[in-house]
Amino acid sequence: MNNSMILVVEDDFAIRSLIASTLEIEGYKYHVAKDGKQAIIEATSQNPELILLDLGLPDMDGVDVIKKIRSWSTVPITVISARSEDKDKIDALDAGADDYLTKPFSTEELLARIRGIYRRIRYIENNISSEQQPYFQNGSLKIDYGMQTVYVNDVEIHVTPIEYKILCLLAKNIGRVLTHIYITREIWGSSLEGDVASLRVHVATVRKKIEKIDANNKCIHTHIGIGYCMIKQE
Amino acid sequence: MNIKKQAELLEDIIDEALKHVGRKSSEYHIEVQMEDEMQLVKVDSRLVLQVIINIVDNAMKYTPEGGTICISTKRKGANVHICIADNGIGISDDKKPYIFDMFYTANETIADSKRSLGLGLALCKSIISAHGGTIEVLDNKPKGTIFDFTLPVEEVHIHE
Repeated sequence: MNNSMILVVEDDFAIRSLIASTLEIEGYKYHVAKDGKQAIIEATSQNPELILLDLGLPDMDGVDVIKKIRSWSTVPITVISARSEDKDKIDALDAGADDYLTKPFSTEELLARIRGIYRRIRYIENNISSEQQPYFQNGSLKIDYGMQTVYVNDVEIHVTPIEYKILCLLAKNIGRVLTHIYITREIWGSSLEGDVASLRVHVATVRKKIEKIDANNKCIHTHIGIGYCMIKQE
Repeated sequence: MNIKKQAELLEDIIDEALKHVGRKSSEYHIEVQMEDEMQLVKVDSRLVLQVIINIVDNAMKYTPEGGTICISTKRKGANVHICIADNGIGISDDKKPYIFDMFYTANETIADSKRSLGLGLALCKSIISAHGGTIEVLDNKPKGTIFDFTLPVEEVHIHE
């Protein structure tokens, strides 16, 4: 894990130095970029395993950087931003970012997020795609794609077709924060206000069905005002 | 106050708020009793989060360690009542009319820079009022305080 390369895109010298020092102490290799143009060049030439990207760059919006990188790469992107408005996080996630950190953040939180991303990378590398893999397993939760059934601790739980679709979408994107808009468009093809409200109820219902069998399985994580993420259970 | 309201699960907001209360929360017994765990409210979640965090933090401040703080919810008509009750030292009747005033703290009418600024409950009231709700303080029995505030219910036609 510590042989991998992380690209840090941050125009503020102090914050860039802090992140770089933190990565160095933990043994991560890294490159830095001070603006969007340099970030795109570094992303293509250095092929990083993870990009930490500030949204407020001097030459271009961080969301545009995400869109450009996503046109050729699926590299995990964590947005680090001082912007507290949910809309900016939502725009970044919908453009293809996987996760976000809001400044100010602690170095412990940053490192924990990085470790989480590498767990997801290892999980994906160790498993073939969901279209080929007959099962998805996350802790006590198991999805049988062939039979379209869901189990918790090997006990089948009844889920509605919509709940099943939501679970599969979250499972396919394990470790990624999916916005309400993204999920509703994937499930219903639209993202009206009523769809988002319905989504909240469906997610809460399926979560309770899982926790009724295994109270310790908290794999579906809510990001208030943003969306949901399925977290890898140990 | 610029608020952006959308339908939110009240349980999600309460769960998130409890993750952000002070570090001493482990020294208290905090329980949540919801009449309807699927209750939706039309709110700006970040602001309502702040209300719950402020009130729970206050409850811990004025309740001895090991005490109980209970968050309960109940629908009444077009609103949901959220009650945050503690079994702490309580608030005397002569202080109750002033606790939502800006810069009022329990012991001083002027902000003491060594303690809180006395803005927390005033801010809570502003946020609740901006949502069209009300907030009041009551005595808990046999001792302690209850903060009771209301938020508008969101009716949802579930999209299948």
